[in-house]
Order: sequence, then C-alpha cells, then structure tokens
Amino acid sequence: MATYLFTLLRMSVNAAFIRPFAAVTAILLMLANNLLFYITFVIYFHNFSSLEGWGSEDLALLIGCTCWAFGLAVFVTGGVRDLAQSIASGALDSYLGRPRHPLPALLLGQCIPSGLGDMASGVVFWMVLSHRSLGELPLLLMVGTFGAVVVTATATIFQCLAFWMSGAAVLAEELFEMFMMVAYYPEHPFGFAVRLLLLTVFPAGFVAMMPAQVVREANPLKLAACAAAAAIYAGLAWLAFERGLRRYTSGSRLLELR
Amino acid sequence: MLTGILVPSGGHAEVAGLVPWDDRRMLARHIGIVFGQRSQLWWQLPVRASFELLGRIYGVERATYATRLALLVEGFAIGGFIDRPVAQLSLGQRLRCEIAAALIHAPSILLLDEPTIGLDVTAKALLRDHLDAMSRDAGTTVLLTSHDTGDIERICERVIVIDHGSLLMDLPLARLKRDFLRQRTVTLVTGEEIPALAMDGVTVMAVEPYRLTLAVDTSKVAIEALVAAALQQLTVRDLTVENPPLEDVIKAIYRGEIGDPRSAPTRAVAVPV
Amino acid sequence: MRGGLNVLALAIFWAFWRATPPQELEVWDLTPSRLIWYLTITEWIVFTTGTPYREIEEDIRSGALASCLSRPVSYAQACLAQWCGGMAFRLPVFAVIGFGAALGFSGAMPLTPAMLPVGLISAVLALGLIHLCHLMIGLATTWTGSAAPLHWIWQKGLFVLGGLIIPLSLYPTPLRGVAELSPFAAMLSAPASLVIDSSREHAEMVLTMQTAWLVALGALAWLIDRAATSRFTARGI
Repeated sequence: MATYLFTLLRMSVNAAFIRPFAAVTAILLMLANNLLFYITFVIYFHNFSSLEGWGSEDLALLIGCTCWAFGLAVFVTGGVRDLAQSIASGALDSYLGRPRHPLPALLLGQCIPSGLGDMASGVVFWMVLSHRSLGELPLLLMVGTFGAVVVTATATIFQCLAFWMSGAAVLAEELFEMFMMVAYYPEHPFGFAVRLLLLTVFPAGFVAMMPAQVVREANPLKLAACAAAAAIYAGLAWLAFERGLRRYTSGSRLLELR
Repeated sequence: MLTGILVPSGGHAEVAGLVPWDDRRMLARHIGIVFGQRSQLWWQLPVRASFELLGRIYGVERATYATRLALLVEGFAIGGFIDRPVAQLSLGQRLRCEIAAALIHAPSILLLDEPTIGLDVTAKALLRDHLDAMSRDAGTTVLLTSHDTGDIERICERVIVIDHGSLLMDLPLARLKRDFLRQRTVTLVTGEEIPALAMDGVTVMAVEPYRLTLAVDTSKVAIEALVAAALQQLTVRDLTVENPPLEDVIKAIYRGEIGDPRSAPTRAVAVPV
Repeated sequence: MRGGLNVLALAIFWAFWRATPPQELEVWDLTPSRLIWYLTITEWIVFTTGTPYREIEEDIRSGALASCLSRPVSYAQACLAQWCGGMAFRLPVFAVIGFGAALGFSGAMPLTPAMLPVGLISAVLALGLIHLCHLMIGLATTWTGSAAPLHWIWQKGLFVLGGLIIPLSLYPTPLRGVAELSPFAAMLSAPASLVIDSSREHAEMVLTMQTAWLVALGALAWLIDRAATSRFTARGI
C-alpha cells in the first residue's frame, strides 16, 4: 500500500513538473503573492499598536501556519479540487474498475506546484517574520501537517456534495474559499460562539488558530487536539465519500442526469 | 453492472465466478476495462509511466511486469511511442495504449466500452486486428459494446442484441449471418446497354447502361440458378455476388423483422447497443 | 455564495476594526464604521468584477477565438460589451448584499445623499478600469500561454496598492506615493475614499483621476489588442 501511494505521488509530481519553467514560475509567484498579502498587516501594525494583544509577529505565525497547511494540502492532494467534477461527469468509473479504493488515487492524482510556494511562504513567515527559533521548526511542521490534513478533509467533504446535488463543484469551491478566508485571519477578536463554530462544524480553527496557539503556548493538550482533529476530520471525509459512493453506485446519479 | 460499478435494483449476474457488486475489488483483479471516451492514462506523462502505475495498482511483480509489458508492446505495436506523453498521441494510438494498459495484469476478461468510437477506418481496422489476435492467442474473453457492426464482425463470435434493456437476440455470429442474411446483391456488367432479367425471388435494384443490380432472396432462388439464367439471357462480362452488411441485419432485428432463436455461446461476445 | 464570501469578509474586518484601539483610530479621524463602509465599497467593486480574463484565456487556448475573429465586431469590444451586461446584473446584487451587511454591522453609510450619484459614477469608472486590465491580462495569453500567474500579481497589486482593506491615507509615505501614482488607486481606494472624505473637492479630484486613467488604460488596451490580433492572425492560434 505504501509503495502504491508513493508511486501515485511520484507520478503526480512528475506530471506537475513536466514543464519545469511554468512550475517554478508558479512557485515563485505564489511566494510573492503571499508576501504581498502580508503587506496589508505590515501597514496595519505601522499605524496601530496591537490587535487585541496580538502584534505583527503573532499574525505572521498564524499566516505561516495557514500557508504551510494549504500549500501541503494542494501539493500532495491537489486532486481534491476536481473531485466534484469527477463525480458529476462519471469519471469515477475508471477508478472503481480498479482493485484499490478510489479516494487515494483521486486525491493524490494531481499535484499543484504553487503549493510549494505556499509552503515556502509558511517557512518565511515563521522563521523571518515571526522570528521563531530553529528548534521550534519540527513542532511547526507537525502542527502545520495536521492543519493540512484538516484542509484536505474539509475540501473533500465539500466536494462530496456532488454525490447528492448538481452544480456542487461551484458551491464546493466557494465554501472552500470561505473556509480558507477564515483560516487566514486571527479568530480572537470574535466571540466564543464563533470560535466554537470554527473548532467544530467549520474547522478553520484547526488550520492555523489552534496550531499557532500550540507553538506560542507549548501546550501538549492543544497539540493532541490538533492531532485528534486531523484524525476525526479525515474520518469524516472518508465517511462522506463512502456514503456518496453508495449513492453513485446505486445509479441514482444516472437517473438524476436523465 | 458487470464491472460492479453500478449496483442493480434486481437480478443476478456472475463474472469470473464473482457477483460484481458484492466483490467489486476482487473482481477488478480478473477483469480489464477500457472506456472509449475516458482515459485511464496520465495525460502529461509518457505512456510507460502509466503502465508502471497500473502495475503497482494491480500488484504485478516486477519481473512479470517487465515480461508482460514487452509482449503487450509488441502485440499492440506501441513501441514507437511508449515513451511519448499521452497528450501527444493520436486517438488510435491512445486507444491501443489504453487496451494494453487494461491487460497489464493479465485479466481473463476484457470489457471494452465503445473502443473504436471516433477512429478512422485504418485505425479501426488496426485495433480490431490487435484485439482479435490477443483474444485468440491469450484466450482472453472480450466483452465489447459498440454501435459499429464492423467491430462485431471482425472481433466477435457471439452477438447479443439488447434494446431498451430487453434481450432481443443471443446467437453465434456465424449463425446470425447464415440464418438471417438470405439476401444477396448480384451485380452484372453486360454487353447489353439496357439489360433486363426477370425471375421469381429476384428484384431489380438498379438499371444503368451495361449494368444491372439485383437483390436475390436465396430462400426462393439459388444463386446458381440466377447465374445460369443470366448467362443464358444476357452477355455477361462481369459478375459480383455480395452479402448485405451485418448492419442491415441488426437494423432488421431492432425493427422486429427478425425473430430471436438462441444457441449456446462460444468464445467471444459482442453487445451491439 | 459569492455574496456569502462578501458578508464573511465584512464580518471579519468589522471585528478587526472594533478590536483596534479607538484612540489610535481617532488620530486618523477614522471610526470602525467608516472603515467598514470603506471596505464595503472596495469589496463591492471586486465582487462585481469576478475573473473575466479567464474567458479570453479560454478562447485563446481552446482556439474558439478563430470564430470570434471572423465576426464584424472587434473581439475586445465584444468582450467589454458582454462584461458590461454581466456587471449591470452583479452591481445592484452585490450592492444589496454588501450594503445590507454593512448597515447591519455599523449603521448608516457615512455619505450624504447628494454624493450618492457621484459614488455610483466613481464605482462604474473603477469597474471600467478593472475590466480594461482584465482585457489586457486575458490577451497576454497570446504570448504567455497562461494568464493566471500574471493575474495573481496584478490582483495583489490591486489589493495592496489599491488599498482594498486599509485606506491609502494610512500607508507609510513612500508606499503611499507609489500607490497614489499607480492606476490601482483609481480602481479601489478612490471610490471608497468618498465615504471618508465626501467633500466636493475630493469628489472632483477622484472623478478627474479616474477619467484620466480610463483614457490612458484604454489606449494601452487598444495597443495590446492590436498587437495580439496581429500575432494570432499571422501565426494562427
């Protein structure tokens, strides 16, 4: 199984870098894109002393976590963004004819090179703009990876809506945009109810807010919560796909299309 | 349904001894599937890379994979472009690669869904020859769906005709042709400018200067009798006897003009739809 | 759903501006209400635009451009006309959504009734400028093969130098100078700044600046359109 997954990943990376100039350009432009985005906060902190106790370094830590999580998710499991389209067009048939579960091939089947630019931005935000120490890097990578699992799992759940409704590809993309928008900004100005929402139904809080707290506070309980969230949401994504697949194989999609 | 992708609302089927929708993943190891309109190859990568991935998917051992790949490359004549990206291949080349890819794990059954759709005449003929050879040499059962009766005539030995989910006919191809292709087309090139020939069971289809085309119902008149009469009554310079295309037979079946006797199946199967 | 994204962004920044020390905002004669209305206007313009450059990119890459070029109307003019139609629908829809959310968060818009038509004209001019940029980005596909990376950089330029979230008056001096000299300021910050300074003099300055940039970018778009058309009629698609 590990060999199979590794081969899948290797193939999708090879395909993504088949035109190396375009891939490297996408990586560098994404890095520039993220750093330009941060300028808005540099301007904010140039004029204002803090955001409810947070300074620019705290924000850089948070944004770094989001960049790393998002980048890793799209680089490794970039196929998730086309999942709804594959379901709607019947492209799952090719995967279902094989002796392997279709979901890994669907997710790992596409690598998006700009994800490396996001990951690189994450490291820059952490080490340069947030002034974290080298000793903290393993912890950052770990919580960032848990965040990446939550990103992929949430995106998968959104995309699985295509099993039940038409036009889900557009809806899934916009839900995911909302999810990532919330993940990029600090949640502490929000009230308790909103923060609870972001740690449960709409788990953007586990992409950056909670990982950033783990690093700032060196809190093992919150680290365990990040790991648990990654496992739980991965499980929910798997479940959503399995339930949807039952509907797909029942032929309900064909009846709907008629 | 036969691949296990769709679960039927009722009925029973077995493929390679397995119920498809109950044992889909186990069945997948015994069958190969080719969707004519969907690719299972990686578009941007060389064909060889896709074969390697499929070898991993099906758990083919390295040594076996290498041997089998060599045979498939030779059998489907894809050696000239196996290292080229799939995106650069013509449709015919891609389909040959798709079929070879579906055989990497040596399935006992190969299911082909409209494999020749969109191909030109030459490419179709080449693909059909490869499938026929593979089926005979490796003993692989080929289940083919197609709207092109040429596919059936070249590759298959058994024909199942389905219309709106109902079985209309299930016969060996040879018997279908023999029992239902009673009509022959006879073309005479004559010395007479306006040739004419009248016989029971013979219909004049076209009269042109020095040429007469006849439709002959062989259940009413034997070809030999017609030829004898033509030689007697006309100055015959050339004579052609043709079978009507299988397509006409299939059309007649769908129109309900031909009945549905069934006989025991043989090696290969076709499902015109 | 785009409306939901709009409201979400406003909600996030409403919380931000309310969490900002009020005495520090007063130094700039700003309040959370004015700032959220500022963001409402900039977001209204951004959401009304969408990503029209993708249509041109797709036409060029798919070869559908060939059939467009055979028509008796310039391709660029046809695109702009089509986009105007889409804008005519999206402009009031996003106005209702965005203004409704801002009213709910912060109360009435700090713009006098007399300035409302000026605000609308300024927003339409801004949209014209942005669509000219999208036209040029889309046509760049002729040379680059993909317009997406160019769009990313242009969009970030728009958001930062255009003052999407923070008015240009808060920018550090060197950056503010660069932003005000760029056309991006005319696209976002200028129309939105009317809710911060709704004086007649400021409004006249905004409209004059936008009109000047419309002429300049229009000329540039015309040149790029000619170059792109020459290239694909000579070389094919």
